[in-house]
Amino acid sequence: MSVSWFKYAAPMNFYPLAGKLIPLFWILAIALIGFGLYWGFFQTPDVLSDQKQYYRIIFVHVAASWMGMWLYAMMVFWGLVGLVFNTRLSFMMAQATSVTGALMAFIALASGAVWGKVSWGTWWDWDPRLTMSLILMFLYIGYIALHSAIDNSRRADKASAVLSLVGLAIVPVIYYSVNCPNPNECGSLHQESSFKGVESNILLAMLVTALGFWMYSFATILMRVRNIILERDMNTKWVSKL
Amino acid sequence: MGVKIMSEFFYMGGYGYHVWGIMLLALVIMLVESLSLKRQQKALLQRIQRNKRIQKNKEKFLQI
Repeated sequence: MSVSWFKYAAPMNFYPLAGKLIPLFWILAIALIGFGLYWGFFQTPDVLSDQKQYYRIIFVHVAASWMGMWLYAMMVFWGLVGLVFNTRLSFMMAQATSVTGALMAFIALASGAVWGKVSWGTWWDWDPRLTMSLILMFLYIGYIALHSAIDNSRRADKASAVLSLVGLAIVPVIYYSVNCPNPNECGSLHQESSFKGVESNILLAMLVTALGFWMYSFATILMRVRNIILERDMNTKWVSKL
Repeated sequence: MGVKIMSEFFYMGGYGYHVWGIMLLALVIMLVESLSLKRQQKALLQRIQRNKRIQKNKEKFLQI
């Protein structure tokens, strides 16, 4: 049985496949986020190290931050695949990923600000990680702006793929911009986000919610890529048969 | 008893606004995103049907 790997590289074949996957991802997303938040609010202690109940923002904050970073890496990957193989669908996937990624980066910043207001006493601080996350959101917005500024969709794809490649350096910087073992040395507020010292129930709720955010991102990205396929292939024969 | 637990739950140790504010923000963003995608899809499919009708009428007109 020979597997034709490139069968689903054609928008015509990918469209029905994505259509079948979307409901599955929606069910998984709602189930996982529902369970994760239930576990996080009812099965966890009322305190995380020295933080009172407001620590529960961690569930949304960590999930959205991870997604913000991961979706940017995914966007760059699809852009790269598109540039190398010149496959239209890869550029469509990159474009579809950018909007969900931008929203996730925004949720991460907003939840971080509220959490920071309570535990640090300030909404914002030019801390390494916070500043880099802000730049990440601007990169997403830059990608979307550049892509919609160029009329010809193929040229827009290529230009924004190159822009996202340039911005790729920021993801590892965000991830590693907190590791200062001795807080007295470096003046960064956002300490190392490690799992050590996090109570197992909280950790479970956090990971399950993060997985739920993954499923949510897949569902919305696949929905958006289907819309992009319809928009771009509006005049083709297979679309008119829908 | 139930009511006391419920109100305590939403009070969240004095940080109810913060925690529930963020949960609501995330929920609203996710809902708006998915509903607008759904609406966009419906509009696109309607446009396709309209194009098909226009195409058919044009062919019928040309045959006469």
